[in-house]
Amino acid sequence: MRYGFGSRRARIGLGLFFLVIVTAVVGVLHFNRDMRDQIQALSRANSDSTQWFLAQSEVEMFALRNAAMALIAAPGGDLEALRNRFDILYSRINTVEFGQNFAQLRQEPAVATALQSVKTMLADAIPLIDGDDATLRAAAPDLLDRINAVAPDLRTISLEGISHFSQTSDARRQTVVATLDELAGIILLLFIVLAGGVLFLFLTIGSIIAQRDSITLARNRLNALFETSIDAIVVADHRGTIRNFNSAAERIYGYTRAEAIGADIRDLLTPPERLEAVEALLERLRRGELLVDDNAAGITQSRALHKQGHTIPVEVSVSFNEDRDGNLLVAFVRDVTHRVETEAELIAARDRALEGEQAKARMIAVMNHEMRTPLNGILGTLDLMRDTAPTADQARYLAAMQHSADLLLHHVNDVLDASRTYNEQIQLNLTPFDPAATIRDLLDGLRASARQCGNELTFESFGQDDRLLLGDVGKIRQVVVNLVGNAIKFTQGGQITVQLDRIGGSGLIELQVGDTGTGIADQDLDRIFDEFVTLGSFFDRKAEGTGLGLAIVKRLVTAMNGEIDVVSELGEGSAFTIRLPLAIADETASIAAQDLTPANVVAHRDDRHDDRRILLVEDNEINRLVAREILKSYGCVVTEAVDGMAGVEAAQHHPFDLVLMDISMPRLNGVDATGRIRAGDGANAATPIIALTAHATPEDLARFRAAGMEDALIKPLDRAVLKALLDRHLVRRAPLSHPRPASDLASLLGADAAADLLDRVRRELDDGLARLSEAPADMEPDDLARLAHKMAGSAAVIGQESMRVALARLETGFRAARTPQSREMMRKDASLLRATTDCTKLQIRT
Amino acid sequence: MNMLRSAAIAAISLAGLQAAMADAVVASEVLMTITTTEGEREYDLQALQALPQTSFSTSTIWTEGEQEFTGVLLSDLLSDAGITDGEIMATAINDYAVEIPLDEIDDIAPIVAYHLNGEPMSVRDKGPLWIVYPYDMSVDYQTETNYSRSIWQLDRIVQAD
Repeated sequence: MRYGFGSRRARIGLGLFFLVIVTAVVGVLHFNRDMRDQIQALSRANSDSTQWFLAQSEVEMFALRNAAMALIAAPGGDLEALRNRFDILYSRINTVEFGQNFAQLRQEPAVATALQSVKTMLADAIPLIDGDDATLRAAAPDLLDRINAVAPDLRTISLEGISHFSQTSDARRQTVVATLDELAGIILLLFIVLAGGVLFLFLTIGSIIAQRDSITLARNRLNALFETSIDAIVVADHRGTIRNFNSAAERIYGYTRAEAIGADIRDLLTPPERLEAVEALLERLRRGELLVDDNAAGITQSRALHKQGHTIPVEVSVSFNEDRDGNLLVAFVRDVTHRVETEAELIAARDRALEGEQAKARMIAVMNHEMRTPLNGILGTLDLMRDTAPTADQARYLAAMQHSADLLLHHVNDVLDASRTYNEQIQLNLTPFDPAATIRDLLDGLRASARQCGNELTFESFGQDDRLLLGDVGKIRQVVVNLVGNAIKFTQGGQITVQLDRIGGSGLIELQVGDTGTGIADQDLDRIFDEFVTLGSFFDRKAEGTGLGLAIVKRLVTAMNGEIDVVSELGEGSAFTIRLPLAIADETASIAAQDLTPANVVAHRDDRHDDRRILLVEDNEINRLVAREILKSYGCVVTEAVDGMAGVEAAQHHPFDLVLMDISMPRLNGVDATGRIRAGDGANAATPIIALTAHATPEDLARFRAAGMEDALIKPLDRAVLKALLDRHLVRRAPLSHPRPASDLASLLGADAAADLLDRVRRELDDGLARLSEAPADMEPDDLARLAHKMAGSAAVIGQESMRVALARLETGFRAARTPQSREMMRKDASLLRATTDCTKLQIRT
Repeated sequence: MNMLRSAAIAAISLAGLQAAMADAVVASEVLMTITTTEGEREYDLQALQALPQTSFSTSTIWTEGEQEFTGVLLSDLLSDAGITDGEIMATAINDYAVEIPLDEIDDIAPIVAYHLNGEPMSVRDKGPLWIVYPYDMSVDYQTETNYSRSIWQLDRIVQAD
């Protein structure tokens, strides 16, 4: 219907059709009265055979005359015949005089005169006819004369009648003809209308048939889709009654179509735990509301109830459709059993892998804490014993013990180093080596690539000193490869010279890499060591790279306590000079490789720290003893606390110059204790707090800093390291390993790189906060904690202290979030932080 | 139509009763003969009046104004004479004759009238017997056939073969 009678043309056609019908009906109605009158008039014969009647009158007149003549011929004849004939004529004339048929005829003057004449004759004859027989017989001739006298009058009436009734009949015929013409016209009109109607109906039926066909086709297609769908399709009305059920649904649910249709979707297909959700969906359907976003967006993970009682994991997508009697719910259900099984296997595999990781992590923690704590005790105690004037034998034994313990510590540290995947601090792996041989070998490997650029690579070694040096060969190689690689890259058909010079008798070496390449402009020389610097016009397209090469060289050299210089002349070439203060291998007894504090220890054994007040918070008695004795040996006044609570208590009232805080303690751990001291208004809110810990990962160090600790001392305690720490924190209070003073950024990195860095930090914080506030499902709480930690570090770099603290809190929170609730709480905190902070507007703060 | 017809019959019956009472003095002159295959039968006024009487008022095309006719139903008369089917030939004094099929007469019309307005009819008044229909009752009676069958001065009826 919608495509037929809804279209504009069809509506106009229909309107016209009705208009014509109405016109015809009005015409017929109008015509009808006239017509009916005509029919009435025709059906009623308002005349006898009038002309016959008039002629018969003449005949009767002649019959009377004959009777009269017969009487004259035979005077004794029968009078009754004459009388009878008279009466018959009389009755006829009477009829002409009074009959309705002749009313109009009588109006004709000739007729009126003639009739009057006949009537007079008859009236005059009556006394004779009704008189006695003798008189009648005598009057017969006279009567005959009278009769003959009116014969022309009767003739006149008859002839006038013919003329009159012909005219009347003609007039009536005309009327009938006109009426029939009108009738024919109306019939023609009706025929046209009906023909038009038939045509219209024919056309309409044609389009209806076409529509029906296309609807049938569409329905067949839908049916085919419905039936061949791999996904189950279940259609239900708002009461939950199943209205349709395809073959895939039969397969998934186990019911036949006949069983399913008419049943209730909740009773039949819904597992108990999904009832509420399905009911809510049906309620929305009943109210005619839209789908909630979760459903509308697409796929819901759910479970389907099979006929045999078990449930199947499925994905469901739902839509609402309008139907004649209310809305319909159409659910597409996909069996995801196989996928869920695969996922489960993957998850199990991942869990096993994670378990392995956790086992490894546990082992490292055991190494860290359970092994290093007793080692701490052994080494510390050995240290103390040497100060107790041992005998020569004892000293020898002590040395052996010390050696063994050091070795053991070395092994433990090796394992820890290897396990570290992320470390901001460069670990030096010092081994004895021959610098000239090492570099010569290295250059032999680079010569080929130098030749490719047409460069000649030469090596010269000065200073005849073949004692081995102690250094990190890997890092030294890395430095040389970077510098020579750069030289090759920026030199075409030139000379690259590497010179090694051992200066004096010390381990100091000077290494120079010179080239005859493009050189560096003066204004660029100051910033080539900044991170991420590429010299646009100068470092042309050949310079593929991150711009980190020289920065890494600088970092490595700095980590080895060396320095690097460059001289260059644009177009002439460049020369990089490195000076590394290495130790002579033979002379180096031991290395504080285990020192995780940023600065290498240069112990000032002579310095004492008399009367400095130290709060030592440590639950392990041996550790406490060792630390206390070492501290005392430097003249410090030591107050001891056996756990975090006691530490906080002690710190509340007595001011200290330094707090040494163990991390793992009963009742209150070191991090929390530090937080309380920092947050409180006690005497030591601003006192430097040093972590004592076996937890040595960078994340841990960051966490300690986030809690407000200035530095960390990795157990086991080493006298020299502890001394260096005291020197640092007791002499100048400014925290060294506290987040880098931001004011230095520009001077450290250069203005451009600082701006670049700020930009990157802003982006990192912005992106990171977005992730934290979403806490995506694929991120474990530890991942989130790590992210927060990394962000806290970045915030610290640009001096955003409050941001750093907030992020550190998030890090702690996420790390502790073991339940979905706590995780969600932290997520909300992150959202709040995100909402209140515009990371893109953060500035470097001093 | 039915109601109209019933009302007309009632009116006719009443009028008939009056006419019968007014006709006390009538000569027993033969008014007509009916010839059947069995033989010939003569009817005088008395014989006709002995049959069930019917009366109605109507106008005719041959008279002026409404007239009251009283007489016997032709069907009654014929059945009295023993004619129950076929056709009859009705003939007037002047030998005007017309055929009437029996299945075209019924128990309403026509009648053989012997009284006009309660009086016997003379030959001059188209008497003494006149076959009439209640023309005013329905246009169905106003047909030329019926007009042609309305014989006045009726004096004989012959059963057609």
